[in-house]
Amino acid sequence: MKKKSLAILLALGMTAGLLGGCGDSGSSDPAGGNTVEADNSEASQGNPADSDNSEASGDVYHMVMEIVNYGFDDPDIKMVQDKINERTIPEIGVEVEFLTVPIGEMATKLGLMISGGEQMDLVCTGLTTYPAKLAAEGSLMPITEYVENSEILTKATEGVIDACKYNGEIYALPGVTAAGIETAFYYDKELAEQYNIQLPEKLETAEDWEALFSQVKESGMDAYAISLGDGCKAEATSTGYAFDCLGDKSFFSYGVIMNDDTSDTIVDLYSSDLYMEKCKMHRDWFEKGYCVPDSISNGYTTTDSLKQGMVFGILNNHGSGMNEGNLNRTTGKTLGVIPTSDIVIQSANVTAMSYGISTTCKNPEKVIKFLELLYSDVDFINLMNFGIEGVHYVTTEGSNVIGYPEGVDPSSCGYGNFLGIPCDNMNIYVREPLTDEFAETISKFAFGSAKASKYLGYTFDTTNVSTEISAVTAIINKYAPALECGIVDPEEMIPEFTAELKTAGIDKIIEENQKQLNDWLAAQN
Amino acid sequence: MQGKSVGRKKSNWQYKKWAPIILMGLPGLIYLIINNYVPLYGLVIAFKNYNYSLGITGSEWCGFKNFEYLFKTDAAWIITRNTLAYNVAFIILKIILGIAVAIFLNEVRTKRSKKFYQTVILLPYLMSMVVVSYLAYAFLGDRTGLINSLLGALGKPPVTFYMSKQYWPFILTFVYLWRQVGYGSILFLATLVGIDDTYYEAAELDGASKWKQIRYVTLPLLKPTTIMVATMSVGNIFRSDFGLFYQIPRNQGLLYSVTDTIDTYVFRALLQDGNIGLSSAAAFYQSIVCFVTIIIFNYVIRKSSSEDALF
Repeated sequence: MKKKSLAILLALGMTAGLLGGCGDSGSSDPAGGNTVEADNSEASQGNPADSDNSEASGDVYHMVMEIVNYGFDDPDIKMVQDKINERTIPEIGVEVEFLTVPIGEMATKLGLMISGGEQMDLVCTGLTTYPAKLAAEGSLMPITEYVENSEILTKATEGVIDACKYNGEIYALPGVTAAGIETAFYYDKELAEQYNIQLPEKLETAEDWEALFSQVKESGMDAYAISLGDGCKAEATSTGYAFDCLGDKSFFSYGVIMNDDTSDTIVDLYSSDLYMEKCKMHRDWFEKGYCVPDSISNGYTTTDSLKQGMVFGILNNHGSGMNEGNLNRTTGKTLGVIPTSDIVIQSANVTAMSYGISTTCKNPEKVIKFLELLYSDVDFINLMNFGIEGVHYVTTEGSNVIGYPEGVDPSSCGYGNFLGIPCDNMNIYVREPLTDEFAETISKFAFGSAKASKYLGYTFDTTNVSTEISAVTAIINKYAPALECGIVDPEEMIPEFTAELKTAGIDKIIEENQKQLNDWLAAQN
Repeated sequence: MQGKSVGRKKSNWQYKKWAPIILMGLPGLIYLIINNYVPLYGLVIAFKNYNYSLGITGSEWCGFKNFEYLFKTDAAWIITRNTLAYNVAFIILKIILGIAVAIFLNEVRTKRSKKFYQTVILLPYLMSMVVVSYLAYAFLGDRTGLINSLLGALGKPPVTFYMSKQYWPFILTFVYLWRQVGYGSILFLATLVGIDDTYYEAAELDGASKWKQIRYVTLPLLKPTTIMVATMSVGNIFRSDFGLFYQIPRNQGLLYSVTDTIDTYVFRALLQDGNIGLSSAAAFYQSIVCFVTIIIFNYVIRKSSSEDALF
């Protein structure tokens, strides 16, 4: 009897202890996990009720801003954040908190944060996602009114803001004001000089490429001419901007309109002659040994292969943003650039780096004030993009080019490992090894000098065909990488590929897209 | 009359006996409810056009629309077939090899070497699939792989494994077994250790050879464990080992027709889309087929040997 009661007592004790443990950890978690946010929610909860009276405008609004990076946090990000707050708190009453998100997680992070009730104000709406999608799923707040009332923002985004619209409302701001883009071949300048490679002005036709690559091969260089990566679109962009992808920049699953087509007809890229031609060219490179033969499975990205000296050059986008600077930094080489397409401004490029305001934001006016600084104040933009002078960069007199301070190199620099900040990038510094020349060329990517697509501002509402798009994307995933790496014979594979696309319903997508486009075009006139 | 009162007395006694045990189990039960039953509510997302700002209850219903994409192409057939066929092969081979390894280990007499073999055979299980995928790549790579280097040295043309689907059913099965057999044999080994030695002594006295002892003593005694392991594996027959099917073939499009399973297909579809409704629909579909298979399997077991059935 004694034993039994002891057992019960013990059991009770254990249960109570465990439950107590649960309760403890439950209550301490939110407080311990995110102190800054807990403080803030208290502070801001008082705000919205009386946000329009003077008392609220005197308060400091704690704003959370998403910074997308490669999964590696800058060690000095806090230091820069404090420096920014030194300016923003007195000037506009905003206290910024950076929230770093690795690029692989960014597509799902925002949704999870919103459903979890966590605060997030200024969010990246580009890269692996796009504003129309985020707006449709209820993650973004319409900001038309704020943008139209702000002179600075209206001026900075002139001509391209239409691309950020969904159902007539503005949901995002273009992250770079000069939104034009071209594809380019980035090559290792050192290798080119060492082996005396004759470089063309532009690479367009198969002959241009052949002339360059045969030189590389015959020069005895211990490197392949090019890596086509794993065949994913972002890496093998030799298709260039010969067409407008109407929103799907990764898979071209919505159908495309060729640049030389004046009849506004949407076609399936994968059954086009252009695609066949490109695949044949890549097949030719593969057979002649110009490209890394196992790039599709060896696990190295194109950037990795360039960094390791495995290849002479790679394909990538080229624009006014940080692309060229980023590539220079990550590869640790001085790169030359040969354009492979015309500069275009398309909706997909404008939104590729864009920022919007999340639905959980409690004080959009303050966020807009912060954005206004980013689109007007050059010192502030430089601080956000490059960090603190003397610590993260040094200026050179009479030039817009900045270098690293003594003892600091790209790998040890404590700030700058992210994928872009929304800002007016026309007058900011450029980082070595870019030159003043690059700063001058920025203007050619701006609206007005670059050719804007006729369909800039058109957004395809995919609601009715979302099933087909999922199915079509799965098929593209299956065939396109091998075709675009030149591993398989296009004559044999493309017919099979396009037949499967038809079963998956690409015609239905194109039909729906064409219908919406025609309505949009009619409304434009 | 008498029997009844004894029964009541007995149940009373049992209640008292089990009360502390139930109390001890309570935290676990609560955990189970919170972790496994409360999230069941999330299944409604599969039937909704999920909108983050409206939340689960506020989002619109959309019927079976989220399920359509699975059945749009012959993808549903291919991935279901792959998932099922691979898992059936895996379950059977894993049990056979698991039993064999357990018997071998049990026959090792010195304690030290027994421990050594047990550890060695368990090691692959502790390795991350990403690491395993690079190990496989070191063997199968086109330019630098061990197999192709050997073939090259022998003057034979290289085999492009990552582009030839005919090899993959074997490669995947081999990698899976290499990784899982050690772990799978533990349960059998535990049962073997518990078998009374007197059975074997009696068998030996009757002149049974080693093989006969295994055939007529060990295997029949392993039957309940085998059925339990099989039932538990069948419950997951529509869930594939994601790491295996995603990492080992290095996500190569040309291999999809033999390497794609429900999990990898859904993962890839959602990696691009991030649509919660579609992923819930796929998970729901998977759970339903799992549930149906386990009911059928249990029914079959109950018919053949009712005492081994789960319920």
